[in-house]
Amino acid sequence: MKHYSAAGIVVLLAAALASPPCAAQAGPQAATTQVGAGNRAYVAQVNSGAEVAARVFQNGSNNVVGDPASQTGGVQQSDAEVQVAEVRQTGNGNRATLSQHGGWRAVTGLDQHGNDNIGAVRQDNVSSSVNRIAQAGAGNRVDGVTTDAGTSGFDAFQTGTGNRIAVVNRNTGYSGPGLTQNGEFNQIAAREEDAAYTTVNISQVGERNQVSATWTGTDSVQGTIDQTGADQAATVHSSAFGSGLRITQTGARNFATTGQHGRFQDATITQDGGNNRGAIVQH
Amino acid sequence: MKHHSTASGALLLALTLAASVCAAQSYAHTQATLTQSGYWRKGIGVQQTGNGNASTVRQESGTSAVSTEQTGNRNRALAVSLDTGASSLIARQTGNGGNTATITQAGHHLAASLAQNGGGNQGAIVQR
Repeated sequence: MKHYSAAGIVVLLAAALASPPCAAQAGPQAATTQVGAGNRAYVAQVNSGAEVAARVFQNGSNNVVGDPASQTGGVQQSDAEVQVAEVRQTGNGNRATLSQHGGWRAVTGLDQHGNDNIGAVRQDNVSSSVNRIAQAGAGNRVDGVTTDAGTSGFDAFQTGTGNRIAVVNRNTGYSGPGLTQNGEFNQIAAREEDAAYTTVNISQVGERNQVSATWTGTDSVQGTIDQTGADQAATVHSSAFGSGLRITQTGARNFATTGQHGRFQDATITQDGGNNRGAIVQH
Repeated sequence: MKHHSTASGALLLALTLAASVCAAQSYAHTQATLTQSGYWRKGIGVQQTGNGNASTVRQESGTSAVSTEQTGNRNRALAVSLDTGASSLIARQTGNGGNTATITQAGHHLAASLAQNGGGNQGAIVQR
């Protein structure tokens, strides 16, 4: 029998017991750190009633926080008054899904550094939501859907080539997606469905980038699209009740078009450069 | 299987004024199963070195703190605390990979920390 010195364990336990969780934390706290490749992490915080927080850090490639394809797993939080979820992944081919349900404040933070990463955020029935997504690398994807939220903020930043942002606000109020891409061959798809008093801000810097925005059943939506570079395209379809759209393109061979249907529609397209095309159709 | 309380148990007892268990194992394919119930502070420490080890810790009620440390590959750690007033569960696994850790907590004032080093690990935290 080998007799171990248990000093390490003594220190850990003494520290834990001397400062019980209730002394410094308002609710359940979960932290996961994984180093290496091919790791999987799962966190569920359910029916906690207070403030919950989950943080997952993964360093390596092909790690998974949940399964974005099936929209299961990952970090799942529900019915706590305040829900905070944070995921950071460094490496290539990582996946992360964050899901929040209920409560009056839902906060997510997702940082992915590397190539071919995918992040997905799902929120529903929250009073207010705040999301901040940052991806750096090539071939990254972020996919956010917020449903039945009193207010919804979704800021996404991507730097690199061949990245894509897809955001949907459905049955929300005072939505404010702010989407930024820096690089080439990037794509943004922003959809507002029955989202009242919405402000959409989209910015792309680079070449061959594309924006597609759709506003349906929405009262009062204001949108701004700024594209700097060449061979870029912006397309907006609006059937909102009261919308204001401003598209600004700087560079050559850019393309901008919008179709607006309904009352109180306003659109302005400004293009600075050569061989650009623009069209506004209102009916 | 080697499952024993060491002298650290007495030290923990003094520190926590409660029942404390410390188990240390240094062989492969060992298993530790510890269960506590009742009130007042409880501390459990499990340390395993080697491959293919398993640790199961279950606590019910009271205030609990569990620390599980495993070094090696293909180890498994399971920590469960239910109906606790305050619960702090820590799992640390170090090796080349293939380790599994599951932490389940229910009650109030819950804190869980999971750290895994190596590839192909799986970690899960469930708090209710």
